[in-house]
Amino acid sequence: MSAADAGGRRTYRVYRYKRGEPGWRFDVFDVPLTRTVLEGLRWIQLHIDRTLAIRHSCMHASCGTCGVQVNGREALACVTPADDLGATITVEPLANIPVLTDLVVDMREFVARFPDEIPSLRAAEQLPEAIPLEGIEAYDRFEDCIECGLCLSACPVSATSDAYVGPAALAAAQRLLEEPRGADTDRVLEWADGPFAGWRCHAAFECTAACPSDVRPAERIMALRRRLGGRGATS
Amino acid sequence: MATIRTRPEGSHRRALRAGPGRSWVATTISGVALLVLLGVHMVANHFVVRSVGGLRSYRQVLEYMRHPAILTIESLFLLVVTVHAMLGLRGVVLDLDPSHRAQRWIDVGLTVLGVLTLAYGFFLIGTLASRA
Amino acid sequence: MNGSVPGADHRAERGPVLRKGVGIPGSGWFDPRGRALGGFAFSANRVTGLGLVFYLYLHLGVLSMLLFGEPVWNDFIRLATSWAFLSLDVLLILGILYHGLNGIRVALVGSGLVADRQRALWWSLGTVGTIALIGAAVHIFGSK
Repeated sequence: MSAADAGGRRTYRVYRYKRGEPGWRFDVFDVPLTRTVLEGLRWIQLHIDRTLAIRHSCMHASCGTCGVQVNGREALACVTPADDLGATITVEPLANIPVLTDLVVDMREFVARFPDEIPSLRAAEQLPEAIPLEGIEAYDRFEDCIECGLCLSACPVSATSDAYVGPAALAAAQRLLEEPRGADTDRVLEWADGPFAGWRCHAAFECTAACPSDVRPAERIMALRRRLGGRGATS
Repeated sequence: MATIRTRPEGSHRRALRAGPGRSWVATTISGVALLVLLGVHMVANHFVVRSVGGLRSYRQVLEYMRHPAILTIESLFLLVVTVHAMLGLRGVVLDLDPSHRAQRWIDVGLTVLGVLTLAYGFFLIGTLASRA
Repeated sequence: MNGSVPGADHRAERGPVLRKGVGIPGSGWFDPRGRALGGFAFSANRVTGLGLVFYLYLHLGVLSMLLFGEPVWNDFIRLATSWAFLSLDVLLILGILYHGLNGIRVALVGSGLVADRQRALWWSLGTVGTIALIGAAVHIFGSK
């Protein structure tokens, strides 16, 4: 059935996995058309299956907690329109990160890939062409990366190896080198020079394509490589 | 709340002695060299000869191999393409996430394969040059 | 208390990990579904690279026929100048052009020199490659 024929309803194919149950499956739900995929999933929770586990918070793409795969592509469910995805919408958890339950993945494994030197707060990336508001320098904005994990899910190298630290961690390392704030940059470079770090990237740019927050992790990884090359770190 | 860090499996593996950066640089440099050498090989061997599809007859091959400059270029081409091919294969195989021990065997195996390829290739070049 | 919560006994287990791919471990790079331009370019680079490795050994094998003298080689050339073989030669040149020109892109982007122009590089080098391929095809088929 085409999206046009589906009118005001959609079929959701949702990945299901519960601890202690054998294997995983897809459950199929008939859902009225909602504005976003997340609203559709919440409708399922409220009206059909209260055991469906989903993770979300801000509802406007700034917290990064609702990352899922929608029809095979990484997306933040809260800002993914449901009306142009076809009659059937397949929702799966992010790839390359262990699933805790249903659409919820274990973000501890994502966070653990970051180098130890990454602090919690850093000044925001300012676009060079931006005209800052008067007085804005008094405020610190959190940096662009919302640690949603979409880049790690999209990365074809991460699909082959869990040892690869992934785009988010490498982009964060480059960000740290751009603004060290007292961090040990030599240690960061040494970490980035590893076989499962900066040199494992194959420049597929899937991470940049998936990133909802304009971090452009692939470009940052390439900049990191440039630093590694300049350091003579090709040892 | 205590911080829970669960490192991904395998992330503790030691860096290979060869150095990952060195492999990438070698692949890139050999690739750039190939752009020149392959270009010369294709044009000189196949595009400036009067034959169907640029495929030389036996005598045309020997005529081609007679020139010392051609011998040098073709030998260099063989060396560089073999290095680039082995490094490329290594990259593909490494993405199968082999164990550290398996990685060493892969490196040994690809080195042996590369050496054998070069040996046979140089044998071919030398034999044809001697007949020219 | 813990035993009354469904799945609590299995809390320590590592859950399933979804992988893009064709069901074989390590095939994630190959699966073009859900990929953007860069992912497709990477997959195609690998496929052409593997194809060219295969061709390297095929080529060495074919050239070995030269060792058996003029009649054997010339017989092979008669076969190799058929339309089918010439078409394969054009396919080979497609693979060479793609791998070589995308390789230039990977070298420029991967070294951090023009990382933010990867899409533009793909299209511009692709245009160059398409023109070169057409020229090569005209030359190859035109010689028959």
